[in-house]
Amino acid sequence: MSEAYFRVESGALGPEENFLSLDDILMSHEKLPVRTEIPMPRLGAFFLDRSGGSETDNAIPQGSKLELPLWLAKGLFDNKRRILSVELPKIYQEGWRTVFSADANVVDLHKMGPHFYGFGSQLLHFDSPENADISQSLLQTFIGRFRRIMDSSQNAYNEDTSALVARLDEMERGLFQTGQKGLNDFQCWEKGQASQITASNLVQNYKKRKFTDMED
Amino acid sequence: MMTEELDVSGQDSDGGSEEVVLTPAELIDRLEQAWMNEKFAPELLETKSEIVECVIEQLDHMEENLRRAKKGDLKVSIHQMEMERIRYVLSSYLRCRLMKIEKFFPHILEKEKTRGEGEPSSLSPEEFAFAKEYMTNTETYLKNVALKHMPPNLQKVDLLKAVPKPDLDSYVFLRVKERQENLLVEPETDEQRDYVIDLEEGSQHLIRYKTIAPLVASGAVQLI
Repeated sequence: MSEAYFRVESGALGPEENFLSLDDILMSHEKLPVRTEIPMPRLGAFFLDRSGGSETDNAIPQGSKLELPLWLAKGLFDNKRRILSVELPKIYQEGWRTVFSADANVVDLHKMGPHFYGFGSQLLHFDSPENADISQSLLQTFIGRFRRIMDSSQNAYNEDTSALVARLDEMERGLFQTGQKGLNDFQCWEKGQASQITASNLVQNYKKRKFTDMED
Repeated sequence: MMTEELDVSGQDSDGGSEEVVLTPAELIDRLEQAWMNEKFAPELLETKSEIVECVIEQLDHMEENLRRAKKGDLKVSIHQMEMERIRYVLSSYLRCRLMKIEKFFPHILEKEKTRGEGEPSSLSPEEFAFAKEYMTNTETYLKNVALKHMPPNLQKVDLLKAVPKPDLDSYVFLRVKERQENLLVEPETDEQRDYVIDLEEGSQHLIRYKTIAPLVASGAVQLI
């Protein structure tokens, strides 16, 4: 609460992403394999290897496989499935789900798409028959990994944490940072530095900018 | 300590329509309760401007008395410390409210617009002015930085949809002050069904905020 600036947090784990959240914007930019159900005129210019050629008005034929970002796929997806049908990426399918249930701690979630939980939660909008399994798998994976994140974030004071966060996805890294901040704030309070007035992080750069202006 | 040592008037009347008389100790207690409730509730609670005004009055009285009383450094510095602590609680309470206003401003202003006549407001007059100014400033800023450069049919942003709503489903810890019976709890997952619980006085629970929101407003439970 002593922050000068409150960022809009990610809503991806809830029912809908937050419009103004930068984390959600980055997350929904990740690509998703889809299959078109109807021919799409004139989009062939973007996907040259899929288009039907200039005689069919550069259309993408029905049934072709594309990779679209999540925001585009969500916008075009319709309950009656007229335009697109979405395939689940590999990491949310049966094979990887058994890997997660075996031991969630050893998986490198950063490599699996740095927004594993957020993207997975938003995937549930596409009404796949495996939705219940996907949500269970997301939940159990998080439960399995949470203990280690909490422990490491609360006990790594003043050291290089890159080895600890390397395998965490973005949401877990956020949690880790919150834990570290709590730890640092507490140590700061113990040393009595909490009552010292410091420059707000919003204006810390101002002095530097004025200096270079004077030099010019 | 406040009532004996400093000759402060032991009675303080509420500025509102009811003539509730509180001792300073009770007033500070009420302030601390309002402060904790505000800190842990996910949404902006009712404004307690009577408590705020009374506390400010009390602090002014105490300062007056301290200036007059010059005998014995120790008593003066202890009272000064107490005043600092009360001042901190008060400003922390107001800061928490301002943070929530900034975070949820379109929804708070919308609720204020559609509020019924008898319902209590969640904003004091100053806070309402602040919220309106914040909204105008944000709209102007978004318009000048981005929206006026967009194609004409995209130049509107609906702040009610863009700004996230307070999450009333978040879990809060609470202590029960008055016994409650037959509280309906909604299921978390599809497999559970609604069930009914009783809250014993003095017991502590972890429960979704939505279920107990009216109890917080009436003072029957205390968030911890």
